[in-house]
Amino acid sequence: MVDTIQLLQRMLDVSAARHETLAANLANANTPDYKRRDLPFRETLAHAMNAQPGEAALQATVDKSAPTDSKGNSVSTSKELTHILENTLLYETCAQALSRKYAGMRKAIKGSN
Amino acid sequence: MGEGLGLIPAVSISTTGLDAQTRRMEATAQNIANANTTVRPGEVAVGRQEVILAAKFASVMRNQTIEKVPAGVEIRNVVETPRDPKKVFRPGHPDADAEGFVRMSGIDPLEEMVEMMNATRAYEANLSAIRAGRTMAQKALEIGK
Repeated sequence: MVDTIQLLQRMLDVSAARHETLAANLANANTPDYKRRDLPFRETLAHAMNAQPGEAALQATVDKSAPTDSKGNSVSTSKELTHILENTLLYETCAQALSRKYAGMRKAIKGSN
Repeated sequence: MGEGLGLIPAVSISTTGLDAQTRRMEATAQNIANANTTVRPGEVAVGRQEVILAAKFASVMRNQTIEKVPAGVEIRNVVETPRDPKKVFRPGHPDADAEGFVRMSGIDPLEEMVEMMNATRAYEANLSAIRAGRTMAQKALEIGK
């Protein structure tokens, strides 16, 4: 059985790491020759589940598919903001799910609310 | 990461973005302020200030290897590029040459306005990222409630 709490914790970790990557992209929206980086959630999570905590698993990679502008920059402000919004929602969902999990355990221990 | 408590994810990264855009805004303001500056005969016109940005990375030790992690953006330098001065016929002006022409700095206010709007939008985008980070931190604090 997959440990739900551990899975949710790792999802929170990956989501927080992805937020750092996306924030760095936004900060470099006007930097010449900057290429946007991303953390593919699925792959990173799978890697993070097998790795020991703190191991080199949350490394962002350069997104080669993004189109570059005349200055060689591949950051689109609106797209990054959308990714950030989506990622924040995922983070909130995981935090919420973790809360429910704990609430359920509390209920089981106490036998009531 | 870096300074601060690290309570809000990526706040130090987004702060570098805010700083960079503020510096850009300053350069643009300086340029607009000098759009009508005249040049004395024999002197060089005031140049157009431009902020050159570069991506910033920090080295961290993880699992016995040194990794480069994103640390935001940094101002590499601020360059001043001279523009061809505009010549305006204004005899009697103290800076006029023998034919009565005054040289004005070649700064284009329109170009500066576009730059200013660009910097404002980028500033707002970085603020949004900080706000999103704050939401994440708040939700993390609510775990178990």
